[in-house]
Amino acid sequence: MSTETTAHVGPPQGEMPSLFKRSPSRSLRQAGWLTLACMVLAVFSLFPLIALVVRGFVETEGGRLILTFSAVKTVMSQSGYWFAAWNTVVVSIGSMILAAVIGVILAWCLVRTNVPFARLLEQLATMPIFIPPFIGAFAWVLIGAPRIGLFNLPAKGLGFGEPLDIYTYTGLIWTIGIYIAPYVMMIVASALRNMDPSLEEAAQVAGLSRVQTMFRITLPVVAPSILSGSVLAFVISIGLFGTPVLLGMTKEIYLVTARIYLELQQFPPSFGIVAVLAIYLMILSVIANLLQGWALRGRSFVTVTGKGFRPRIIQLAAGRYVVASIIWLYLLLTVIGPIIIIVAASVSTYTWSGKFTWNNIAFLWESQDVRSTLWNSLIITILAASATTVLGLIVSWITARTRMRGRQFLEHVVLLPMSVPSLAFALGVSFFWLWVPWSVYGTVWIIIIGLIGRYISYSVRSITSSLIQIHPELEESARISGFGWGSTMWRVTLPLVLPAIISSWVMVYSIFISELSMVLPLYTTSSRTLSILSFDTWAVGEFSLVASLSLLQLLLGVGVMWFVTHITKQRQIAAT
Amino acid sequence: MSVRVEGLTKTFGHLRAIDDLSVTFQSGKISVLLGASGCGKTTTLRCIAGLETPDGGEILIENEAVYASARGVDQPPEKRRLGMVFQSYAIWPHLTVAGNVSMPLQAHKVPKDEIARRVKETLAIVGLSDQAEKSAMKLSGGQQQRVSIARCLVGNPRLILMDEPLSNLDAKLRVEMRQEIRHLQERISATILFVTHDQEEAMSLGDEIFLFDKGRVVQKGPPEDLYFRPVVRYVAEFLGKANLFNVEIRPDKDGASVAALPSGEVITRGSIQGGATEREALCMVRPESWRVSGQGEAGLPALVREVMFVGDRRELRVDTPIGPQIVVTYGYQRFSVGDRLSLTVAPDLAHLFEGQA
Repeated sequence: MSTETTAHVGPPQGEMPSLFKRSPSRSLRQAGWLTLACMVLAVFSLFPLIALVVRGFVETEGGRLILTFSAVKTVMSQSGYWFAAWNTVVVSIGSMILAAVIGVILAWCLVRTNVPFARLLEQLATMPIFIPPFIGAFAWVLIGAPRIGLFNLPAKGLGFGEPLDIYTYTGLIWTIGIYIAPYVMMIVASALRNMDPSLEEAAQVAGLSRVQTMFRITLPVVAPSILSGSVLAFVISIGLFGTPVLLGMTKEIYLVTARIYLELQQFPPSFGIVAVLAIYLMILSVIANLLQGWALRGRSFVTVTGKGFRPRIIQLAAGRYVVASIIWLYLLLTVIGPIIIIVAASVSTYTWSGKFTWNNIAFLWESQDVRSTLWNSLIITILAASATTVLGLIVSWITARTRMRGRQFLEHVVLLPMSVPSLAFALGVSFFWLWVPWSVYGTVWIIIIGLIGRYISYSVRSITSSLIQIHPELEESARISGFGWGSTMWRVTLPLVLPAIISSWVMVYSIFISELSMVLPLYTTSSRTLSILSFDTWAVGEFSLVASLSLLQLLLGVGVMWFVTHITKQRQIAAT
Repeated sequence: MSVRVEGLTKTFGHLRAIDDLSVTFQSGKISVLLGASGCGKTTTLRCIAGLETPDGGEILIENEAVYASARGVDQPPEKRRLGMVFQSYAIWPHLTVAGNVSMPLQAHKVPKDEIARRVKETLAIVGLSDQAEKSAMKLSGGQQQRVSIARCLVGNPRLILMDEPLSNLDAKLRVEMRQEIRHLQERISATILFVTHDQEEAMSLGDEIFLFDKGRVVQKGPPEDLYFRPVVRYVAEFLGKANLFNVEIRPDKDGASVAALPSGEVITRGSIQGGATEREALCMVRPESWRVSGQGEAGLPALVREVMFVGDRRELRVDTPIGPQIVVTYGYQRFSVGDRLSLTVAPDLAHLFEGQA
């Protein structure tokens, strides 16, 4: 009887037997999808890195590829390249220390004191990382450059000479450090917040004073996160392009990224040398990450339980206004001051002439260059941000929700470019696609492909963190209710991760719209972006035009970001 | 008409979560899958649901194979026509109460007006009629539990799976919901597979209990069978408290006498299971089965070491010549530490494990 019944109600797939009989199990079909995902991501994220490494040791000779160490030898034998590597290390360590000091102070003030408007201030204090490095550096050129620096003019007039010179090691370290400090701040702030307050209470009960508690308990407990934040700052710093070029090259302080730029300006450029220099950057960031792993082994005290602790707030009386003014001073130096100065520069006939003009602003809609590069920037940004988010969602779902074998591999491939500086990664992208028979090179597509590969890890991380908070049973119950995989995604998963999807899109959008170092090795005259236009304008010394172009970029980046997050927040409030 | 599992196997890496399991769950009954964590009960449930793909074996629901490795049958969960209540309730936070409950009907393309009618009916059954348009997240734990039960019932599933549904509720509410599930089941005579690690819940709720250990069913049967007539020591120790000790059975004219070893005091005499053969065996006496009498009476002499008053009963820890025993007494007789007692047991309450001395 049982066989009869089974035959009768057999699964509806029976109508296409050949296909399903060969792969009866769902896990086989899943494996197929996983392989496909891996292949796509390998093309985006892995192959450029391989191409970069290979390119350092391969030259074309008479139409065929040969293995050679000539590029490595050249780089090793010339002191200029050694000096660049040295400069990168010195400047990055300096900026890292500055960023760590500022970041820890900010985090402590924001989380542990009763500073007025702590919530708002914390949001504002992350703003500097959304100022593109090129624009931040440019603002500081306007402030602290010899001869034209706004700060130097009155001092010179009063006979004090020129107190500031931004074109120095100190200037570089200062400008890089203040802009990457928020990374340290965010990591340390969350550690301070997740720290069990009873650890400190126990210390005070045991007889330690407040200051002793801070130095003997609090600092050691959050030390691992200070270290993590510092390494992150270091890795970001070695890969920076805009700041070292703007501030270093004038007085011939070349960092590795600036050297790469110089090599690319040669004709014909020596791609071998460029590749070896890019490998330098990769090695530096790998070393930093290894050192961090070594320093942190077995020391992650702060377990993120997801359990919200109420941090112990230190009640300051008048001191809270001192603390607030420290934070406002930081914002003044990184965001408010620079924006005011850029606005002022963009409405001056030339830098600090004191004469007012609309011409530089009008340039934005009158110039054909602005129109075409703006169009390119928008296309590239919107397509790349959307593709990055969709791919990120797929990868997150596979790694967080399935037990497919090989899903960790997928995750590793995606996270790999995260520690590779953009400029190096972009070079790898250009090498890889030059070898490929399809003509992607020279179009906007190669820029889009490069951005996806470099930044997909960002959206994977932010979407995964939201996805793992959504209990798998929410999806499983939809399957039990009778929805297939697709409908479950559409009706349950997507609505629940939508906020993360939007914020991930906005995040990569704000990076892409003003990305300079990724675009630099990949653009051609037909695919110039707004960031390239303002870089070229800087190179010819039209500072007032650079200022108005920077304003446009800030508006497109930070402005749109603020607008979208504001709208979605309103919608969330309306929905609940 | 039942749920049948044949030769089911599932491994996670090196761990055998289900080990060649063959078992039948009767329809129209509550079958409780009971066991310690990691015993394979939840994995079995998830395999039946289709949320986990087994390594091999067969699963038949009402004689229809939903999974059969040999024939390559593996229905996805949405085709199996089941209802499931999850431990976390799995209430979709972006939908209202009615939205949650209507989802299974929407999935099966039920016409709109019928959806509205059936959602209303089902919400009435679980007593949430006035909460239909509320956001599901605004409800209390117990109410969310009801939403999740309503969602599970609304599609008239042929089989209802419950995965530790009461473990997130507080103790009082848990007992209440237990009764409600029982009543509900009696009303619609549904087939329910209920996973729990709580033995009290299992015994009060189950028509049949399936006790799992290491991916297999160690014993199945009505709760009383498992409690009073466990087949192996593991069952005796898992369900409730058990005094376990070796005894010698000596046949006599009334049947047999049972003497505790090694000291040899007779704890019971009368008609004993298999009392005709003289032998040694492992014996189990439940704490509440001990009959307590004063010092000097026949039986196992006991010295009270600890008295715990738990409202409706007293729990005594006593020392005896065969080692410490637990005794539970009901009623108003008081005991204090240092009291000397004698323990005996009714012949049918001294359970013998044959061949496990």
